[in-house]
Amino acid sequence: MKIYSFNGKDLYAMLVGSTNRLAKRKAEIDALNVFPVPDGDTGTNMYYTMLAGAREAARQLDENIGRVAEAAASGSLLGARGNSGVILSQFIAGLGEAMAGLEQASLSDVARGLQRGVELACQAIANPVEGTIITVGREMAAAFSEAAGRSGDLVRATVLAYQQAQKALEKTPELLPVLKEAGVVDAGGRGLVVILEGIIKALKDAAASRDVELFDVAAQQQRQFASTSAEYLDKKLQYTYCTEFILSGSQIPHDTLRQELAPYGDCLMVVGNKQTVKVHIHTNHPGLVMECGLRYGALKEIHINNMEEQMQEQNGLSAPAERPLKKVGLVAVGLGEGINIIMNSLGVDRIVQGGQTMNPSAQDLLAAVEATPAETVILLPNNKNVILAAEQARSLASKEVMVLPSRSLVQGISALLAFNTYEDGETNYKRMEAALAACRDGEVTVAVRDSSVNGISVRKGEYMALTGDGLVAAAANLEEAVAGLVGHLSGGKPGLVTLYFGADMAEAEARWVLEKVQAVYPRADIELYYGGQPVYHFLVSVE
Amino acid sequence: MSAKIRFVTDSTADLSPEYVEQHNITVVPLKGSFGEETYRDYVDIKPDEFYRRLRQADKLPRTSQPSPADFLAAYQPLVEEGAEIISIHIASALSGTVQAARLAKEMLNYPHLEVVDSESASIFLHAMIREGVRLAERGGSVEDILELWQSFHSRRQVLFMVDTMEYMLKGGRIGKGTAFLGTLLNIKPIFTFKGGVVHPVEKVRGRKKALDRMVELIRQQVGDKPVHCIIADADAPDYLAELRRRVEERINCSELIISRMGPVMGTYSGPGFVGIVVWRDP
Repeated sequence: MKIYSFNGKDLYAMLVGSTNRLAKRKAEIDALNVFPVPDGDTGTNMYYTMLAGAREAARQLDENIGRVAEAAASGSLLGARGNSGVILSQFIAGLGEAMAGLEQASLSDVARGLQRGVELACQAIANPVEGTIITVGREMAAAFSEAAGRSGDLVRATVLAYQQAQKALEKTPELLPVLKEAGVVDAGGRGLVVILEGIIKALKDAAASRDVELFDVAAQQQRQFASTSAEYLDKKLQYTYCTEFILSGSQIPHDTLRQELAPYGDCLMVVGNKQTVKVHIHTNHPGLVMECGLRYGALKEIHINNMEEQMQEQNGLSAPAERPLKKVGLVAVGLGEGINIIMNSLGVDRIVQGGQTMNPSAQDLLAAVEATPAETVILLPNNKNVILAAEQARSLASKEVMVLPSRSLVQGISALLAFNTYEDGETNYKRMEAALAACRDGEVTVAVRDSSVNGISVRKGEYMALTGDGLVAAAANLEEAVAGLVGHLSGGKPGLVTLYFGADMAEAEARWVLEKVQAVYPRADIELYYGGQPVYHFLVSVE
Repeated sequence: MSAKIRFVTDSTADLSPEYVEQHNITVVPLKGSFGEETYRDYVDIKPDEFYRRLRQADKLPRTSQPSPADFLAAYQPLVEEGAEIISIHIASALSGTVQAARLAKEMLNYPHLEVVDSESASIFLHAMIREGVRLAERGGSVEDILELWQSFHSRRQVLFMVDTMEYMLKGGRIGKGTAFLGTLLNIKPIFTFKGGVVHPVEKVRGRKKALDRMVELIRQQVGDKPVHCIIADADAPDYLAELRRRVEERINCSELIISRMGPVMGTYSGPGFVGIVVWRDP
């Protein structure tokens, strides 16, 4: 079971193997979240990034490895979601560079490609942090290089790299204190290890099929495996309707619901608590999905979007009447009905759905940028995990794009307030950047497990106040957590406080919280708006 | 000794009756109508009554410029005096008043009549008139005054805010793209005049912060230098008092004139407008 050289189809089998492996493990990776907030999405992001690469590779499937590797690289660059996804796409891009123009590749090409990938990834992120996917990726690349110096067997090298990566992963809590405090390993690093597992499985299958090449049956099985996988990958993207709703009930079984809904499509999300659940799925049968949901509660806020139509619109196929080009256009990542309405009222041309619980891909952002009739586009990722994908979109765009590094929805709103249609892109960017720097914001949600972060311990079910710096307060009551956050953000002297309440809260409840906070800070001006965001009870800004 | 200079303006300058009388200024009223009922600005309806009715009206009143005949009637007695007439009016981008005045001038064929587009309105027009009147009373010629006004827009700072965008949007007197000034988040947009057109400057959340910001922006431009200043409101005496307090604290005013927005201008700003203009001598 040795492989010394391999072609495009072999590479494709590896991509499929690792994508499928990620598909199985993504929920477990998602759960490796530093903060006990039910919004982890690293596994999902890496899965979609791999899927996009594998899908493009399927389209260009060929014996020629250069062609397949380049296709995988461009697919994953476009499909990259989240920071880990962007870094992963850079690893694949490194492989693409190393294999470009080759008929067949050897272990030394893989080693070279991964070294290049690590370089590219470090360039893509401003401040590479040790104890993350970067560390695990570097160890993986080093292991491949070392193995290449000894023997040319790809299977053996991959197993060694897997062991090395696993060791590096176990050490991530030593390198990154937040991981240690939270008692988890790095999620992106874990994703990389899972990818290696998938590759090993695929290689072993492939090697086995070569050993018995004379037996037609095995070879045929191998071909079948490749073709059914391709079919499977294509099908995954053939769902037409993005279906979302909120389910209210009393004892909604998340896991059961998830299992029942999973066969209807992909991109499934079931989040919330026992009483209120937000469901999101891409499906061809929105009716069946809703029927299934009805068994557990009442449906609210139902949104069904035909994604094909949206895509055509974005690609300008059903082009509306020609509009004159604006000087500066705005594209922002939004999440929650209320937030979207506010962003629209501030002049955003296109809102890309996503954010904390569902990071948009570089391609989603790119499509929105291209569809905006403006010479220059200012792009607001509004989430720290989307900034890299936004940068990726910028580098791929056909027009000038300026990425404003907004790290939260509320920061995005502050920046939008500073926008003036009469000014040029440069001036607006500076004004918006200054507004970002002046914005102080955070959010409040419920802890899903016991944890200790930043020296503050929080128990499952308690409310946590989080800022860009992490956990700043924890309390048994929602109003105490909100007041604690306001106090933290303002140094105890708030001027204008804005509360955006989430999808899972009633306005009366939110108003009650406002009154409690007002009692703590009687001199503050406190304003309440419907944000409609999932997961977070309140987004808070203080000026 | 040259002939006497006489100023003609229109009611959108929002001059006080005392000032008009003291400096012998001719004011040609624009017109407005609530439904079928037509009124002449400041003549048939005074600001207090106007805002009371505006708040109750289902539909915005309509406004119309004076006719050339109105201007002819205004110019006639001055022509007979043999005065040198300077007729300065609301920006042509906002109203057809200047065109009506120009038509009247053509009909009169009187050589000593200058019609000027102020590229502004209300207190901003008011400010120009004060500067012109002052120079005339010190013996300046028509040419001197026109020259002085040439530089006025570069010497002045104009800012205003409205409580709600509703009236400006309905009135259609703002440039394209300004619709996105945010009707949510308690946003108070701050505007200026540029080339006779209302131009957004910044969006600020909350009235107090907007007032602070207006005065701060003025201060950034003028520093401690002495300036002339006019502030005005449209049925918002509280805002005006708050603005006045800030101006007195932060701006070195050689004169501070308190004014208000009249019925025709108030139709477009709506109640809740406050504005400030400062200008320095050349």
